Amino acid sequence: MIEVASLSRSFADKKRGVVHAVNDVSFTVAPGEIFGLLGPNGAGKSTCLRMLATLLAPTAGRASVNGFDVQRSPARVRESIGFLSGDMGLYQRMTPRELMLFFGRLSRVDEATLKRRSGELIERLAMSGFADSRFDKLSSGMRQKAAIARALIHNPPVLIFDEPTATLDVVTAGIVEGFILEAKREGRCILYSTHIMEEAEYLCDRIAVINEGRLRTTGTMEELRAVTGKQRLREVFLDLLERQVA
Amino acid sequence: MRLSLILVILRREVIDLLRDRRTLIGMVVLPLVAFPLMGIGVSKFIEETGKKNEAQATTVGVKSLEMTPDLQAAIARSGMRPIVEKDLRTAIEQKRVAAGIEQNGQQIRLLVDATRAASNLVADRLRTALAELKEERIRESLAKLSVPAAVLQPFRVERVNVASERKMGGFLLGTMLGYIVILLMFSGGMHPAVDMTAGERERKTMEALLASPASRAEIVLAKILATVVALYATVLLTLGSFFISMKSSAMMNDAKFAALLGNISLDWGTLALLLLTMFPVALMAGALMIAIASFARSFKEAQSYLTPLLLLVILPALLGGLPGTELSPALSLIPIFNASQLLKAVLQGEFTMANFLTTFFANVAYAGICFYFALRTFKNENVMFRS
Ligand SMILES: Nc1ncnc2c1ncn2[C@@H]1O[C@H](COP(=O)(O)OP(=O)(O)OP(=O)(O)O)[C@@H](O)[C@H]1O
Ligand SMILES: [Mg+2]
Repeated sequence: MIEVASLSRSFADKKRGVVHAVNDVSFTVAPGEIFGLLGPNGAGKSTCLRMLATLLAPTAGRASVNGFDVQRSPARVRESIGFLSGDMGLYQRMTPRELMLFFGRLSRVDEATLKRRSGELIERLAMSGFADSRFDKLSSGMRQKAAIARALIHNPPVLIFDEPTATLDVVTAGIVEGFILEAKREGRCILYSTHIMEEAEYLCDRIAVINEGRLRTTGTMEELRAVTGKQRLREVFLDLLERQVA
Repeated sequence: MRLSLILVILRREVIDLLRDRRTLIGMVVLPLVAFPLMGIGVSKFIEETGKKNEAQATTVGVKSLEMTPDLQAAIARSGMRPIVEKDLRTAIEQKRVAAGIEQNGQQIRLLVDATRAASNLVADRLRTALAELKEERIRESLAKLSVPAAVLQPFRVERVNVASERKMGGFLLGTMLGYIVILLMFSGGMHPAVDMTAGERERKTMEALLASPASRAEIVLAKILATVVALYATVLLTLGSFFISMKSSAMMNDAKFAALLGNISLDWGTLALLLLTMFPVALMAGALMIAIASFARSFKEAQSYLTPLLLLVILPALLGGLPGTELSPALSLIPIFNASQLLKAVLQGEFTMANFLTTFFANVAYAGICFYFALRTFKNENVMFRS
């Protein structure tokens, strides 16, 4: 579903010189799997996910999503993904329903299906109370629900979520987590980045720890505990960050 | 490029603009309300100052009431009331009298404060009275000498304007209109262009749009077209309200000017031609502003790039509208200038197909170049994703 092979991306920065934001990263994510990309600030999570969403071009390596190469058929890749990031804005002068219709039409979902799906999503996410109010009047929890609904409106097989809970309180973060688990049950392939270890443990089938652009380890939570010989999440995490690439 | 996707984005952008109070005020409310109010205000002002000047223009300062018969007759003829003042200059300065008159032998001197309308009015009336008097005196002298009065006028000069009324109206209007329309285009499209590019990036809604199945070219084109819609709406609303308020208000007190304006028949053919001429210009203006604004880091930065553009556009727009400049095939390649020039020609009813076509396609080509640059900016990762 998602295949990433030796993917790299560097930036030419005026002050810092060449920054290797993502350096020789490889992993795969299967349908029905939640794959966590865990790393501290500046680790390269967003850069990696943006390459998969075809927003940034890789400097080396390859990646494919839903069988489509990100560089050769970017349009097909974008049709296959629901992309969401925590600091993504929403059109202030639109309503959640309008937003869903807009992005649905961009994915060329036909009007009848669009109407049915938007209705379903509004119901499932308990959005009926505010589906027709403009975003500038909504709380951040309401906005995040609408943002999720927007990412799912075209029924994409792949979800790419970049720290979707970063700005949320525990209640709203809980809603997002519930939804991601539901998407997994529906057989979607989910790539999820976070810097919160607990969240990764609760949600993810497999976790890749990334730091300074490089993957340190990949495995289930049990495997990570076994590798480090530590129990406390924070210590497992800190241990892995220091590790050299295997 | 898929037309359906372009239309989906265009529709969203236009709805968004219509919901933005700032755009609405600039695009709809201001033109619809400001111009008629301005028209009424100006005409009231002109009327009032005219009345005031009339009321003040009644007195003339004289050194003494003992005057030569000539002077006395002239003052009487002008209908002014003579008031004795020792120091005429101070009296005029302090507005005790509107103007002054004094005689020194053969020399008659009119004292006037040229910055005051009332003072000018009095001086004009006195001068007319004096001129009439002078002519009468000459006629009397000639009659005494038995010379026929015809010697005073060996020939007569008359100036006849052969331009049609339409052309005259087009001349006056064209001089202003091309210039105004082009300025309106740029000023009307400015806020929307900034809002849809730098604004969208600042509000962080751009990333989701770029990650959607729409291609960059489709997104850029839709945004350019949305700017075109905004700038067309600004032009149409402003001009519409401008014409109506010009025609209906007493602003055009000057009967001659009103007649000229009133005689411009904006028939459907001319109107269609005007709108057609404007289209590639609007496209170019939209593409240019989207290209520049999308390069900016923030809303403010984009605005500070586009404001000088407005000044840059004024000169060719003004030159193109000036009477006397005429379009040649080479000149119709100069952007802005060619459009302003052609708008004038269309209004005067004397444009040539060759000029129309070169201007049309030149502007389409410029729009294409601007589109290319806007697209390049949208594809530039350093611009779109820099922090
Ligand atoms: N457009 C860019 N130009 C230059 N450097 C960049 C650019 N984007 C990212 N970087 C650099 O690449 C590195 C990785 O950034 P990235 O945003 O991918 O990290 P992240 O893991 O998402 O961090 P965070 O948790 O803060 O979101 C950082 O050092 C960042 O400064
Ligand atoms: Mg990030």
